[in-house]
Amino acid sequence: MRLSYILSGAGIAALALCSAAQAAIIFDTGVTSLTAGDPTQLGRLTRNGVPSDWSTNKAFPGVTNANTSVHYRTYLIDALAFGTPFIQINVDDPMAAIFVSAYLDSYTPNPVPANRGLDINYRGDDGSTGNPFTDPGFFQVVIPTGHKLVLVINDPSTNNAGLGKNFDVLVEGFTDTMFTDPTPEPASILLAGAGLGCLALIRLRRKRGPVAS
Amino acid sequence: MFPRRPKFSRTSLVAVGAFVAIASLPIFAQQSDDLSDSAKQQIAEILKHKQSFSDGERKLSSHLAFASRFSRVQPSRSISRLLDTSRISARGMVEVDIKGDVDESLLGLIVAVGGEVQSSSVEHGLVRATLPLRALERVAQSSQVGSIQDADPMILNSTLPRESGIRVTGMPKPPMLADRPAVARVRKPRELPLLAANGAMPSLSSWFSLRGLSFFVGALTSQGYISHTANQVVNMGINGTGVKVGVLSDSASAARVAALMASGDLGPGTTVLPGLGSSGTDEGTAMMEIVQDLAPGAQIFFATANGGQAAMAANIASLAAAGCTIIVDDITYLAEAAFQDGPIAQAVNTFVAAGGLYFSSAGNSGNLTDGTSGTWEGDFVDGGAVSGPIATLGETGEFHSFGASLFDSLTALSSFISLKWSDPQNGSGNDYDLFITNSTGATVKGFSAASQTGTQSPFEAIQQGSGCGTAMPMGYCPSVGDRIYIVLFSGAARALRVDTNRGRLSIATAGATFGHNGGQNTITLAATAWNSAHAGTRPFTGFANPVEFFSSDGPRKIFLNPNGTAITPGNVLFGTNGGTTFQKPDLTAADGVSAKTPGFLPFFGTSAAAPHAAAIAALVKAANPALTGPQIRQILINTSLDNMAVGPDRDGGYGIIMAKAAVLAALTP
Repeated sequence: MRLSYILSGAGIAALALCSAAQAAIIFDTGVTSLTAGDPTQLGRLTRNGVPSDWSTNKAFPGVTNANTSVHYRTYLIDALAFGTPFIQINVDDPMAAIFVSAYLDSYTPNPVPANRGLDINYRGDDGSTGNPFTDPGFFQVVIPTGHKLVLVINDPSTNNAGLGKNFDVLVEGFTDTMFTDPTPEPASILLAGAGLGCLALIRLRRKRGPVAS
Repeated sequence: MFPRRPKFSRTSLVAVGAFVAIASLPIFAQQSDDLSDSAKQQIAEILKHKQSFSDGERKLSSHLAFASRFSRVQPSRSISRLLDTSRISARGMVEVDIKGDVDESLLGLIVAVGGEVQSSSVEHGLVRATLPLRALERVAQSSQVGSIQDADPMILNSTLPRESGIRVTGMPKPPMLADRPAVARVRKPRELPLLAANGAMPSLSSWFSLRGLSFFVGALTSQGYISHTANQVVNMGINGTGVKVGVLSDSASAARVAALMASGDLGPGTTVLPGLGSSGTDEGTAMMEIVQDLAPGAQIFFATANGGQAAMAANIASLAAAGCTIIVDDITYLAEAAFQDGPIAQAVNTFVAAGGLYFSSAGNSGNLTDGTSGTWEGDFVDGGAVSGPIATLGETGEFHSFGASLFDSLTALSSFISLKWSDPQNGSGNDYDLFITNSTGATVKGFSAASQTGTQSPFEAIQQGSGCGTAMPMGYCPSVGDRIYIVLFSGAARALRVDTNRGRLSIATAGATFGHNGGQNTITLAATAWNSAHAGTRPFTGFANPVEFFSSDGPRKIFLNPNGTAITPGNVLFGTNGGTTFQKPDLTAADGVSAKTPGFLPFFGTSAAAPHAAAIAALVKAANPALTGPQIRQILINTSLDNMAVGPDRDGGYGIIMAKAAVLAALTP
């Protein structure tokens, strides 16, 4: 009972402060690049030029170069910790070096033909590599509460040409398709106050000792 | 002894200096044209034909005049290969724009020779028709006809990433990498619901349905809703209710409009004017989606801009008659006048004079700041008489000097290269011609050498031919390095404009936006990506949001009043500060946004920017309906976020249009 108070109070405060500070951003790879130390898989998703979006479920696009080993990296994101099922993934890839896709809960590439396991838990992808003009590209997926987002970043080349080239992938979460932040600013402040109040109450009760039931 | 230093008087020094200056003039005036003899021979042959034009041929555009002539006379191989006959139908018909005194007798003549009238405007003296090639000269001989040109090409100011690829500083632009790029343009529409259909994750849809939510919601929202702070205005209870917004683009098909209304991407009151949905890419529905996203209470109307300048002008009036007080378009007609208001700009003037607000895309032809300009504007400079075989034939034309050379060069491909000058529409008496050679000047690749004898418009154009890249090309096939020459065939120096329409030039200037897009009464929109700050979905901040490198720049200089008289009588040149200059573009708005219309995810280009601005104007008007059009325009300017050079500039105008600040200003007494 006491523990749940602590968690809820701290969680509300953290949520409010975090949302006030970072708006809808829930994850950022920062500027980084794939390396030869990243794991490899056989084949990769076909880039069909169609970014997935919130209005429809993008069909699995198939696998290209199924017998070629390519490097990939995954990021596991508990996307719905803040109640934000509508995920927008912004891909800043100025060197046209990566291909980004999204999976639900886990990513399990394997040698089994024909899809090499890439169809399992597939949610969506960017459709293309590189920035449209000089601007980051984006795609959208829906990840319900209780599930995790797995961000997969592939080197789409057949000769490791994507290794060592900088990219930055930013993940945003919204409560609806109108890009509503998890908590608007005034509510953030109220929530923070409520959370801190909870913590203060718990601390006060601790000082007074156990209460007889 | 030191040798005695020679003495020079001040007078002798001045004399020597003057001699050197005078002696250098002919050298400058006779810059080398750097053309091969065979290229000169080709030009000479073209000009020889031009000198023998009949009265009827003199009223035809270059392409039509030569095509008409060569349908009767066997042309030389060197000229015939420059003509693109693919624009002539198998039945020998060509689509044309006829300018002149339009009445029943002219329309009757068109029909009598086997032609078909598509649209006509008595007010603007314009007819769009198809005519038999063999009848062109006969129609042109009519005293009612001032000129006949190839049908003016219309372009949409959207741009797709896969067409323009990516830009990497210091490197040539590689194509956007997709394994099946063609799919991007013709994405098949997929309607709801889809999860159950593929059975991938039924648990997710059931999770949402149990909570009363739609898993995939159908509707998409432009990120500009947040970037422009329209969400904050809508949350205040102001959503554009009571305002009618008109949209002009290529098309809004009935099926697409119905689908978008069903998914909630368009409102139930969305109206396509009867018979004016047209066919095309449905870019109009993508624009309407943006207006709907930012001003969900506004009622949206659509009319096509297809059918030529006169038809578009008429449809502006139709939208106004339907009650629209705000209109937005994303169209450029390539033959629109650059230095004078044409039919569309005049229709905008009428609409705005009646209290309306008109928004348009600046265009996607690049800008000087980003080094992407495909425009050159300046005064004619005599570069010396045409020489060699041309002169031998008695040609008296003069080359134009671009300064460093007698030619400008393409540094990026162009499918349409035009020359315009500061003569009145339908009243040009100064005859300029346009030639394109290969990169060494050895071969003429294209030409436009129509006559201007007082009834034609100041316009020459070379359109990309057909079959380029194959063994059987016809007409002009552009290559990087191609040279552009201008010849003043006869007449006086005028202000000139070379426009490569999304190409790029080695000698370039600012001033890409033109026509009604850059008209005085148009609110002209540059584009910045919604995520140009690379910071995610959040409001624009200003200088972190520069315009797209393809966004057309201003300013716009015009020299002539709508009736063709000079604004500054006797002065129609840049160098003597003739005419008047408009601050263009006016404002900047978002592009690269989400739209559900197939092919517009993402929706890039100034085509996407313009409807964002129109929607924000609707919010302002809804907030305070008593405001006049000029008052709203001033509020939008005053509350914009500066994003390029400090103060108004040729790239982003006054800055990024912002909904919340504008609405708050509108509500302030």
